[in-house]
This record gives sequence, C-alpha cells and structure tokens, in this order.
Amino acid sequence: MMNAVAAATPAGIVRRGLRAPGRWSLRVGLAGIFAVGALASFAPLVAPYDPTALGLSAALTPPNGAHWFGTDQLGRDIFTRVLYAGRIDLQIGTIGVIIPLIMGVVVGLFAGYYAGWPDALLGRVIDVVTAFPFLVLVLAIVAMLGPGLRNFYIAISLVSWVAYARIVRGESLSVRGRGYILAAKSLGYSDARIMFRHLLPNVIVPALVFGMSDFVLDILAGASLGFFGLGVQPPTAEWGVMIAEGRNFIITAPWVVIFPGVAIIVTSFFVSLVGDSVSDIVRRVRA
Amino acid sequence: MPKDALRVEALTVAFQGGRPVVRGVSFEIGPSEAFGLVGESGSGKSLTCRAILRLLPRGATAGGRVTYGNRSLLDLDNAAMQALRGSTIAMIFQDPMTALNPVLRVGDAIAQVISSHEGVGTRAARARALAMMERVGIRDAARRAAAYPHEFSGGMRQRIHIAMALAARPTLLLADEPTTALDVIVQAEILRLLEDLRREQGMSLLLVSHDFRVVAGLCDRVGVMYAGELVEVGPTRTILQQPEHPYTVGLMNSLPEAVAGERLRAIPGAPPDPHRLPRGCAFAPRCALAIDACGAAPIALSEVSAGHASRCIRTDRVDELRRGLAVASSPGA
Amino acid sequence: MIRYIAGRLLLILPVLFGVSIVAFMLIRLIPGNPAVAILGERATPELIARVENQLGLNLPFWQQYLHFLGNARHGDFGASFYYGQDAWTLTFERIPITLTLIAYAATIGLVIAVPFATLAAVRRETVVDHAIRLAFTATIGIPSFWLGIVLALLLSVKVRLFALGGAGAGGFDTLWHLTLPALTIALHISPILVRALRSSLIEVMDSDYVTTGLAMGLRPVTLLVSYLLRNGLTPFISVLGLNVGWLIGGTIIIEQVFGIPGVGSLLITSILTRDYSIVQFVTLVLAFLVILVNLLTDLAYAVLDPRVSFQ
Repeated sequence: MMNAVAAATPAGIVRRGLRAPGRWSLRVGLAGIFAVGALASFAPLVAPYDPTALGLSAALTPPNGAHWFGTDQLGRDIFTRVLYAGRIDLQIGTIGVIIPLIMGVVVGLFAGYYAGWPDALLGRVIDVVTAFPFLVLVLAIVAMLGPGLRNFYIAISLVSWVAYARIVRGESLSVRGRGYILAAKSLGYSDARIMFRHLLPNVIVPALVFGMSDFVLDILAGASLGFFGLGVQPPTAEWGVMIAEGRNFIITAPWVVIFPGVAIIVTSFFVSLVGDSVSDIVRRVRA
Repeated sequence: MPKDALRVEALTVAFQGGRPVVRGVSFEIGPSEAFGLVGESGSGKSLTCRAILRLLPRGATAGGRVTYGNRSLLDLDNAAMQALRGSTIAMIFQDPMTALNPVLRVGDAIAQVISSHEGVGTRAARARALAMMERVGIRDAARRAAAYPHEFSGGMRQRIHIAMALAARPTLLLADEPTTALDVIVQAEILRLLEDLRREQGMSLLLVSHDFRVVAGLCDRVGVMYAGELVEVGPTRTILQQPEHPYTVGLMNSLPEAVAGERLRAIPGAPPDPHRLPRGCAFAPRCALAIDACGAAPIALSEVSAGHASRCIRTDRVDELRRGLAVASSPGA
Repeated sequence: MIRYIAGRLLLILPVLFGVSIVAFMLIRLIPGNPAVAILGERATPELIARVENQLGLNLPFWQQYLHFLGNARHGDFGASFYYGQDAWTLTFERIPITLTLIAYAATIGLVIAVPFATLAAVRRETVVDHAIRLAFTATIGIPSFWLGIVLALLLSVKVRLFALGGAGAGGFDTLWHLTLPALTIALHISPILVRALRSSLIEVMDSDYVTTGLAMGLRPVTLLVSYLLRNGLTPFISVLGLNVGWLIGGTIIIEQVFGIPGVGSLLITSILTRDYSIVQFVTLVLAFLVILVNLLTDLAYAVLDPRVSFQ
C-alpha cells in the first residue's frame, strides 16, 4: 500500500513515465515542446531578421526562399515574428500557470487540511468564481484595469487560481485521513510541516496535470485578447496580435494569418500530448 | 450427437500474452441434464462458463472446441452468436445489483429479449414478459413491470434476471454463481426456482459455484476445477460419497456444517499463480498425499469407475484421507 | 418536481449573491476614480458628481452594494453612452440571437461529437480510436477567432457557400447566416464533447448490465440505444453543463469575428469603448446564464436517471 501511495508523487510519476513502454505520445510531445521552446528562447539567434524591421518595398510577399513564411503588410518577416511572438506566448502560458498554481495549491492545501469552515468558505468562493465563464471574467477584469500584458496576468491569476484550489482541496480532503498523515500528526509535527512536506507531494500531481491543459487555455486566452487589442499591444509580436493585423489582408495574403495560427495549434498540440500522456500514467498509477 | 447437447473439448482461455488460466477443460452436458462446476476463486470455472457464449472479458481468447448440437460455437460469426444467445443458450450472472440496465423498466427489459429473437409484436412481448415475471415469483407483476431495477431487492432482481434469460425459452442455461451474492434463505429460493424452471422447460443447466452444497442439491453430475483444469468429474452422488481426489476431499471438508463441535478445515496454502504452475499436479504443493511422482509430470484424467474420472495417481489413498479428516474433525480429536 | 427545483434554487441563492458581489466589485477595480473613467471625455465636475451618486461611490462599501442591489431591483444597471440605451434593454434585446447561436452551435457540436465518440469507444484502443483522439486533441489548440477567419475565407469567400456577417433577416436567412459561426463554435467545443462522451460510453460498455444485454442476445440496435447510449448520455449531460463556460467564451469571440449583434459582441465592443456599466452588466448576465444552464442540466439528469429521486 505504501508503494501505491508513494508512487502518486511527482517523482513516482516521472519514474513510471520513463519506464512505460511505447509511450510515443509522451516522447513526441516532450520533443515538440522542447523544439518550440528552444526556437522561441533562441529567437534572436535563430531568426534571420529583426522582428520590427520594416521593408515596405517587400510588403505582403508570399513565402519564398528569403522569407520562409512571407512578409506582412509592413514588410516584416513573418517567420521572425512568429518566433519572437513565441517568446511572449510561451511566457503567457508559463506565468499564466505558475502564479495561479501556487496561489491555488496553497489555498487548497489549507482548506483541505483543516476542513471545517475554511473548506466551506473556499467551496463557496469556488462556486461563485466558476459561475463566470473563464474568458468573460478575464475580459471584464482586463476591461477595468486596462489592456496590456501585466493586467492580463493579474486577471488570469484572479480567475485561474480557483481551479487549482478546487483540485488540491479535493485531493487533500480525501487524503488527510490516511495513515501517514495521522502518523505525522501523532509525532507532533507542525501543521505547516505536515501540509507542505507530507500532504503536498501526494496531492499536487492532479494539479500539475491540470496545469498542462491550463497552459493551452492561457495561450488561447492571451492570443484572443491580443486579437481584440486587449492584451499585448502592437507592434510587439504576439500570435493573436499578428492574426488581427493580418486579418484585413487575408484574401490576398493569407499567410500572414495562417502561420501564427499554426504556431498556436502546434504548440498547444504538443503540450496537450504531454498532458494527456501524463494524465494516463497518473490514472494507471492510482488504479 | 443429440441436438441439445453441449460438448466442451480441450477448452483453453488465456489473457493477452499470458499463460492459460483455463487449461484444456472437457466435459459434456446432455439434454435436460444439470452439470455443476465447482472450484475456488481463480480456478477458471467462471471463464469456462463465459467462454461457451464467447462473453470473455477484454483481452481474453478461447481455444479448443465447443459444440452445441452440431454447431461449433467458437467459430460462429457475430450475427449467428447474437441469435443463439438468449434463445438457445442463455446465461445468468452473479451480481444482481449490477446485472440489470438501470434505466429500463424491468418489464421492458424482459420484453426486449423476446422481441430480439421472435417476431412478436410489442403487446405480445409485454404479455409474455408479464407471464415470465409471474412465473419467477414476482407478485403483482402487472404493476411491478413498470418499476426500475433499483426498486427491487437483490433476490427480486435475480428473479428478474432469470426471467430475462428464460424469456426466449433457451434449451441450455449457464448460471455463473447465481446465488453467491444473495443471503442464504434467498439462495435456497432461487435454487429451487431454477430447478423448477429447468424441469418445466426441459432445459439443461450448467451451474458454476464455489459452494459444493449449491451444486450438490441441483446437479446430476459435477466437475471439480483447480488451477484451470478439471481434477475430478462424475455423478454427484458418487463424488459426494466417494471422492477420488484430495482437493475434492478438502473442498467438501472446508464447508461449515451446522454440526456442533466440528471445526472448519481450510485447505492449507493458496491456489497457484497461473504463470508459475508446478510441472506436475497443480495441487501437489498443498496435498497431504503428494509423493515425488506427483510433481514430476502432468497427470491425466483417468477413469476411476463408470463415468467418474480423477486426475490423481494416489486415488488408492484418498479414502484414508477422507476418513482421516473425518476422524480428525469429530469431537475430542 | 417543483419541490426539487425550489430546493435547488435555494441552494444556489448564495452563489447568485456571490456572483452579484463580484460583478458589483468589477467597476471598483478601475484604477483611479471610476466615475471619471466611465465618463471619459465627457467628464465635467458636475457629471462626475452625478455618476458618483448614481453608483454610490461615496458610501461605505457595504452600503454601495445595497445601493447596487436597490438599483438592480428597478432594472437600473447603468446605461451605455455608446449605444444610448440602458443596460437592461440593450442586453436583453440581444439575448435571443446569442441563445440561438449557442443552441445552434451545441447542436452541431453534438452532431459532430456523438458519431466520433461512439466510434472511438466501440473501437477502443485501435488505430481508429487513437486517430480520433489525436485529431480532437489537435483541435483543442485551434484558436476560435483564427478558425472563424479561416473558415469564413474558405467557405464564404472562396466558395460562396455561406453568407457572411450579421445575423440575417430572421427565420431561415438567420440560420443561414449563423451556420458558419455556429460551425466554428461547434468545432471549438467538440474536443471536450468527444472526450467526455467517449469515456462515458466506455464506462458503460464495461458495466455488468451491458454484458447481460449481450448474453441475452439483444439485437445490436437495441443494445446500442437502450443500453449504451441511454446510459452513456446521462453523465455526458453533466459534463456539458460544466463546460458551458467554454461554449460561451467561444461564442463571444465568434460573435465579434462575424459581426453578429449578440451579447458577446456587445461585451467586446463595450470593453473597447470603455462602456464600463455595460461590461459589468453583461458579465453578470452571462454568469447567471451559466448558473441557469447548470440548473437545467441537473434537472435533465434527474429526469433521465430513474435512480435520482426528486427529493
């Protein structure tokens, strides 16, 4: 029994994942994320052009040898901009997950560990926040605070933490009666120590799995806001912004819109692959 | 071979890439005959039963030959199998709490079986469903036909389950531990019901159970399974009076009898892992009569008397074992 | 059944209040003086004072909320400078088109999801199953605004299949205009539908009563409908309810992309024109819509599953 319990920790999952035969989707996903991440991170080294360099004489040229993804209406190289935009969007996904995750996990741990009124209160808060469609609440908060990446992060954090709190709270509630928790209590360990050293590793995995699909959600939300001019502001390259900018030229120069969209699809696909694989592994470990 | 006879020959069942958990089981059930299959969990008796109707769990495949009349069941295509199930050979299962479709009214569930096999109209099917419900002992059938499974007790649900199975008048009924999940009094009622119905419809019956008494009360012949094979098979009365295999003796002696002072005698040890079977007799490691020859090579079923076979080379000593255990379990021993 | 509904309404009352509190607090998030922000260029000291009174900005916090509720009782949720209408009328005259679009999208979504999910479940773990799951995993990452633009290009401009822009003149013309948007939203939500329905069907397929159904030799159609779908669709409905937020989010984006005069495009336009009262009210309305949908799915579940009693 102890083995089954220990294996549901992140370390246990990693061990299981690496051993699992034929998990091609996990490997493809990880390879893809690595590739996208590398391209984006090393954009300045990889990209052939400056993302803001105008070249009006070569505006709206289709993909060719000099410009792999063509150029936009201001003559900027789309391939370069897609790579640079990747840095922003990957950052959106990462920060959009990390901050709510930390907030939500801590709150969820407290509520699940102490149960009683903290848990009841959290339950009500979760009910209220989740009654709002995610995008609607994010949009409303950004509307009030003003457009821009920083306000976007604030809005995401205020809304997303709830999902993590709900997951961790549920897990904590069911685990708090287990042997090793009671044993730790009887040994006189402090509540904080039990929560973070004993409870946390065993409840955090579902939250991490959710984090992967949340990553995709955040990129889509960021791109949507960018598309409407409420997120990252032009001329900064962001995939949603690029799609908005290229929209007017879609009939004559569809590549301006196509490539940023494909970038979102491909990135999300790889992350989803990893998320699904890990979730499968977790399910099998717990069975 | 008579039209309504079941013949199972060298049936094997194995899970994907694993060792067989049913290893070459053979028996016959004649028309109107009742045959019991006894063994503990993991002996393969349920899988044997399911293999006949090709209702094995995912990843399990069956080998060997199963014939009913002159039809080879393992070779039938899906359409033929569907037509056969329920109308010719029917099956009932162990857990009445999960065996019935929770969103169907019970009358409709039974009527569906009838209309799947016979071209009768809805009204006729419902009428027969009602008649079937009454026949299995559900009072006030007309009103209760509109109820859902969760509104019935376990025993009642099992009766409904039986009604479904027999609605299309099959000639062979496979019963996989039909009374295991029921309490003792209800068990007896259900068994009696099965016996009545069997006689009435002239059906043959395969009754699978881990409880010897269940099988003993109902079956003309019985087969004892251990670790995926038959270790003893023969007429029930003969086996009861004169078991010829140490495992059978152990099984019969591990039954709690309502006799004061008798102690329960469990068979020491545990059934073997199908992936790590001993080379010779699978029961040898737990057997009080085992000698070196027992573990050397696989033992074949050999006839001990008319229609009675045993997979044991120590049948000469089995009687002693039986008496010895009887002596040991009497008061004061 | 009435008692059931009444009981559920009682349970969600605190949530309704909580939602109204959150919506109420939205305007207070505006950095600086909300009244100034709302008035924008029209700000004059006397107008600012008037708006401040209207919103009760000078009152203590909890009194502000009561003031807000008081206004709400009269249907006063502020007004739009951009449209020149009060929030209530403005929003509710656009609700029908949005609800039509949502229903249309949900229907198309089901039409897409049910066959694929059933196929994937029945052919579990085969190439077909993996291919379907992979395809829908890729679909999750397709941004809805991008998909809308691309589909509009392909199916409306290149191939004049669908009308573009606006909601048409009512009746069939509207349906024709809404088809492309609804299709886009449907594709946007289809991965969730397929995933949920597939796993629900698999759970049913593994159940004992399906084995019983097989053992009784039921006709395949009977088995599929009365045993598989009838049991598999019910938990699926709950999942639908849980994901209505995702459906609404997609609808908002698509309304704006296709220029459909619904509540979603109202929200976006109001954000862009700094029409704060409208943003606040629309947010409130959409949250109430989510709560309503969840209530309806609970009710549907209770009706469909005979084991759930109306207590």
